[in-house]
Amino acid sequence: MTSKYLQSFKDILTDRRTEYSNFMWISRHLDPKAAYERLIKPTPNFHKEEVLRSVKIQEIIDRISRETGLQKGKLANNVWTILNEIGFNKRLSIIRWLGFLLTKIGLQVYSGIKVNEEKLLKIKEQMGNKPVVFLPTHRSYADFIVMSYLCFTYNIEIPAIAAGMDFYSMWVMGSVLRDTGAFFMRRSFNNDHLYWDTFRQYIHQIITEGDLPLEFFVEGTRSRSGKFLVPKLGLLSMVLKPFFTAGIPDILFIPINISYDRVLEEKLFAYELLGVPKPKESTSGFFKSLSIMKENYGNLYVDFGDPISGREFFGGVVNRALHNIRPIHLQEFTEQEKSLTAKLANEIVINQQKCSVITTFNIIALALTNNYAMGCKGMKVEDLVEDVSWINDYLIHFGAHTELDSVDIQSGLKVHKHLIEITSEKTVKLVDHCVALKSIDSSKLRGHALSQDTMNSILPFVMLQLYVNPALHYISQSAMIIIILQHHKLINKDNLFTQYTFLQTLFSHEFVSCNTGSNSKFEELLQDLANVALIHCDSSGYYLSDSNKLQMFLRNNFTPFLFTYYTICNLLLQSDGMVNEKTAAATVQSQIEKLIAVRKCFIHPYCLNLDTIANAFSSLTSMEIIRKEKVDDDTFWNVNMEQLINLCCKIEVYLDAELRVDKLQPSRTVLLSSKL
Amino acid sequence: MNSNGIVNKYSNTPVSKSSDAIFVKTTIPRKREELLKWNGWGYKDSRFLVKDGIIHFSGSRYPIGELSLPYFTQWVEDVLGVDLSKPHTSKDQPVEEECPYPLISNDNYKQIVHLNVPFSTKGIDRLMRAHGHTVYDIYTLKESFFDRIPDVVLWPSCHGDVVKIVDAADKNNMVVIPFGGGTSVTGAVECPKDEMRTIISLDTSQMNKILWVDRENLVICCESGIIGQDLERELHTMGFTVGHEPDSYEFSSLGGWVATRASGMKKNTYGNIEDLLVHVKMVTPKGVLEKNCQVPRMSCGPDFNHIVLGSEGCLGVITEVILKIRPLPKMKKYGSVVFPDFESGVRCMREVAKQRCQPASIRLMDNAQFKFGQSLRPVPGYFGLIFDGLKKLYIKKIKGFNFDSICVMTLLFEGDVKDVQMQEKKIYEIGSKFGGIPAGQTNGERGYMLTFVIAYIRDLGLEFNVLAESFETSVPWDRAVSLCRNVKYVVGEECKKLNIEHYLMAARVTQTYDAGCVIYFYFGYNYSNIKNPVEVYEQIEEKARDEIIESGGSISHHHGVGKIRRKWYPGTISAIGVQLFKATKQELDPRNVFACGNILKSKL
Ligand SMILES: Cc1cc2nc3c(=O)[nH]c(=O)nc-3n(C[C@H](O)[C@H](O)[C@H](O)COP(=O)(O)OP(=O)(O)OC[C@H]3O[C@@H](n4cnc5c(N)ncnc54)[C@H](O)[C@@H]3O)c2cc1C
Repeated sequence: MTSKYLQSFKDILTDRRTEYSNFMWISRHLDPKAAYERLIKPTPNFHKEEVLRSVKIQEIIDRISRETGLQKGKLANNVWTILNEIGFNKRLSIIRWLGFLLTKIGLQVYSGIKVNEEKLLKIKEQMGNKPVVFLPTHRSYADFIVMSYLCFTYNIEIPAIAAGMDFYSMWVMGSVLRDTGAFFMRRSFNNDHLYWDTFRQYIHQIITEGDLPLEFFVEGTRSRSGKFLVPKLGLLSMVLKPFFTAGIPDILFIPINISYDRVLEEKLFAYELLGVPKPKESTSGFFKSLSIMKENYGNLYVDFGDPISGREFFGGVVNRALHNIRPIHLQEFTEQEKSLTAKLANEIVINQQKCSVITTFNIIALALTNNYAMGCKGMKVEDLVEDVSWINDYLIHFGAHTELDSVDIQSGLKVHKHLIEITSEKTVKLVDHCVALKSIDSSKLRGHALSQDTMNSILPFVMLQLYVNPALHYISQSAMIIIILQHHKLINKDNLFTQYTFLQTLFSHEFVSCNTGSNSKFEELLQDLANVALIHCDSSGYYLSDSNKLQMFLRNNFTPFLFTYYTICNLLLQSDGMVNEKTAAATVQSQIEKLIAVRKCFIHPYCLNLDTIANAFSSLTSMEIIRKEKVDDDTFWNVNMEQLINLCCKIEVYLDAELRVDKLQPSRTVLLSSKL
Repeated sequence: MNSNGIVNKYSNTPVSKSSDAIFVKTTIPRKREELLKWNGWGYKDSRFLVKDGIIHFSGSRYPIGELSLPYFTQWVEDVLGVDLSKPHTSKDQPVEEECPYPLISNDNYKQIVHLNVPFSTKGIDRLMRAHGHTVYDIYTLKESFFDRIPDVVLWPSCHGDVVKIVDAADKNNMVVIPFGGGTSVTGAVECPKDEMRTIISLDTSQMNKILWVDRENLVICCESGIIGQDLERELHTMGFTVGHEPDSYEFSSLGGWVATRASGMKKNTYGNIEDLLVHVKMVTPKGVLEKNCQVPRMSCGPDFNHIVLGSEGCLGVITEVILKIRPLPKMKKYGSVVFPDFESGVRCMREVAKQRCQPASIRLMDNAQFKFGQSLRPVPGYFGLIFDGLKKLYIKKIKGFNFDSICVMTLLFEGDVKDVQMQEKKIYEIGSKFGGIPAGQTNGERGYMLTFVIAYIRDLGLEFNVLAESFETSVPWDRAVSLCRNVKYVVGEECKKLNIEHYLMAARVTQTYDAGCVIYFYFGYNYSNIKNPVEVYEQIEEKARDEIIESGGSISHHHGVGKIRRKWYPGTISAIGVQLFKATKQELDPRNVFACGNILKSKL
């Protein structure tokens, strides 16, 4: 079964471990496979020159010059400067040296880099006559290094990689990355038109005339939480435009998942999720993190989804001929293209999910979290083994590729010994002081200044949750059905669908799912749940099977999210209808901190994370329950109270009684208001 | 219509005195099969054939006649995977008994006899007019038989005859399909399968007089059945030319050109058919559509010449056309320029169009076609050594050209000696700006000679399981390169899917305009492992056309819609456009006499 799936993965470090000289391998002759073979190989500089020469840029220079009186030559220089900031480069010597360094580091810190070789080779075979876009998940800085290393290993052109500006400013590293194919993109809130037009044209150029694969992260940013993020559409749209306007015949999107046993940045992420800002990327910081690499980070798995061809995905639906009139550089997306772009982005993430590998530690984390949620303080090894086993079965039933048969629990724990310990009584529990607290510069906090105590006690939980999250997509949808049935006891299908759709909408920014609004997916889900005897159905409707541990497990892993949303709604209810956006998250955190402190029941400390809080605000905005409003220089949430009350009631029924607001007394002490 | 608004069945211009008319000796006899292949392209005596494992071209009509072509032999083996030792023989010409019996009632037969116009119901006459030259047509001739062929062929000899025929057909519920040269490549002259009425093939070939010549205004009036080579031959003796040279002009007719909106190779100097046409008469069931004056241009509401042009036999029969003529040029000269790649070539063509300094013809062949063209040279010594020996070395080594990306622009200059020199100078200057180097006259000349010979290759191909066809489009300049790329990609991917191993996909830019250009694609493939080669071909062409249209190209630049491109007509001209065409058809031909079903499937 699943283990077989993983057994076919190839550990690309094996050859490196056994070969006589890594150096020989690094300096071997390379004839890498291009995405789009061209008769004359375009150079990085050629791309920049073409962008500057393009009608689009020339017209913009012309226009700005007419409007502002600035010299065209000067404007052209500006564009050139921008292009030098953006443009990738390619220096084989740098690639080889870096490859050498990475081999050494990789051998040191990873037990294995396991790759679905068969899939990769198939993809390689499909390359050669069209643009190809690699779309890996983004869980760590290691992602693009892994990707490039993989390409180097398999004789594939190292992609042109979209990188953030934070790397650009890193001394030496910025230029090293550029030399290995990174190009740089400013943050989207920057509204320098000349910059963005140049950037778009650059993308257009490397798509229509380039030969390298392109690589970027649809999720837009590293997922600090380890959860799949709702995809961003900016870069994807830029990449799709040449397809819609028929500058290219097809484009191939390759969803890729990289699963880590242990993420290099786990501690940083835990802090960041709580609002302690991430340090600016600096080269010394980078090398410091290298020194951390004396530790072992276990395995990492790279798997590939089925390539999605633009032609097939949009074929028969999108009529590219709609762009036949007016020049290409003046074309805009049609509404249909916009919505299908979002659909494609979603599809990519779904496919990344499908090819994710669930490590044994992910399952351990699920089991432990479940255990804590039930009020226990650690669990016996035998119990853990048993729980891991049935959770594994559940995951496999829902299509997961789990590591379990190839890795035993002990070694799963070993990589995480700083986080999880086995006591002398054979109890598995979180390490108390797993993170040495750094002194926090409170002026840089993004959220509420949590007390030292809170920090100490919650950090292990948050870190543990980082390993629950990668598996959440196998849990969230089932959990929604379960909590609906737990509340309603017996419900007919239509009603169930309505409730389920409600929860999906509520969590649309939290869990990426292909199910939203889809009746067929809903049916499938019900069938799957019935197959594991979680739910039953007869002529009167759907109901739960006798309460069992799996139901509890699903509920427990879902509750933290539900609770955070609920708490936010309640806070908003008590506000005066205008909530300052800047301080809202911190207020929510401080409320939850209080609730945890006085808790009568277990409230998962992960509820404090800013990620979920932000998602909740996004959701409420999408649902038009709150609306952004600018007053002077501040941004406020304008709350639609009536609808909010309605929403609160709808959420409340799904929470454990002890978690509802009437049971949690001190809630009224914190107030969200415009004056904050 | 006369001034009283009464419809006149007859043309209101006086009939020409026959003494003014020039009776042109027609090259093509009424028994077409005596001169032309009954199941392939062109003259019977001219064809590619294999002798001792080497391909030759027979006959002496074309410059490559009686020559052996070893490079071409190699090329077909390499590119198309052809085994020349295993020819496939096709069907023999059907005898009378094999042809379907004509569907004519006794009454209709009497009507036809009564017309007093020569006619025939012989099988071979009807079969010869049942098709054009699509790959489907030729394959069907060679391997099977058409579902439906005309029931009777009529040979009118003047406008009046046509009026009589159309009238009789309209009154007696018969169908008329005008037939000119039969070179249609759109299925336009084919009979609709399910048409059960009597189908008359109206063969215009005997309507080929030059009715008069007007030297003052430089126009001539011709009957529509005159074919290109006859027209030019006659005019040359008078020191004139029309200058309309579609690649099919040896066999295609004036009426056909008007009915399909044809475009000639030398349109830069002489114009397309719509530029050359000054006046036209079209006989419809409702009467004759024509204008009352012979003027260079007029402002008089929508121009109904454009209902005649491109009518594809759906609305009536074109009988007489007044055309512009030009004095014969003093000089004709070929030329060529090679470019490192297709993109540079296109940029050069664009610049030439921008400066409006196109010579009579300017074309750009892509690499595949360049190589193909190179292969069609006889053993060294005959055509010059352009890409052999030293020069090849020069181009490769010194200019750094890659033999796998190189492409060539061929040129035809016409005019006074001085004009031609100036044109040449300008073109070569522009060429060099885009990295082109002049590659001599011989290469250019061969390019144009091949134009007429290429059509003969299909018949050779079909002997060795290779099916070949061309299709064309027009496109704005900025999308020309991407269109070519996209279409080649799509065809390549389709071939991959269909397990087609050996194929040729080549493109060339054949015309330039201010706002865009014309792309001509050749596609040929080895169908040894394919059961239904024509269907598969059609499937591929359909995908290619979809991609052409999605890449900003048109449904067709000059071949027309016919039956094979009806699918894209509504999308091209909008729903309202369809209504407009239908209304026109309804007005001119309410009983659907012209039921060929081109452009839009006609209701039956
Ligand atoms: C090898 C080859 C090369 C070609 N090259 C060119 C080229 O360079 N440029 C170009 O434009 N085309 C080209 N064609 C296409 C074809 O030659 C043209 O469409 C040509 O105009 C057809 O003329 P025809 O006399 O052969 O017409 P036919 O094939 O006989 O008929 C074509 C259509 O016109 C109608 N028609 C014919 N005569 C009349 C009439 N008197 N009144 C009303 N309707 C009529 C027919 O009913 C039919 O619908 C080529 C074809 C071949 C096979």
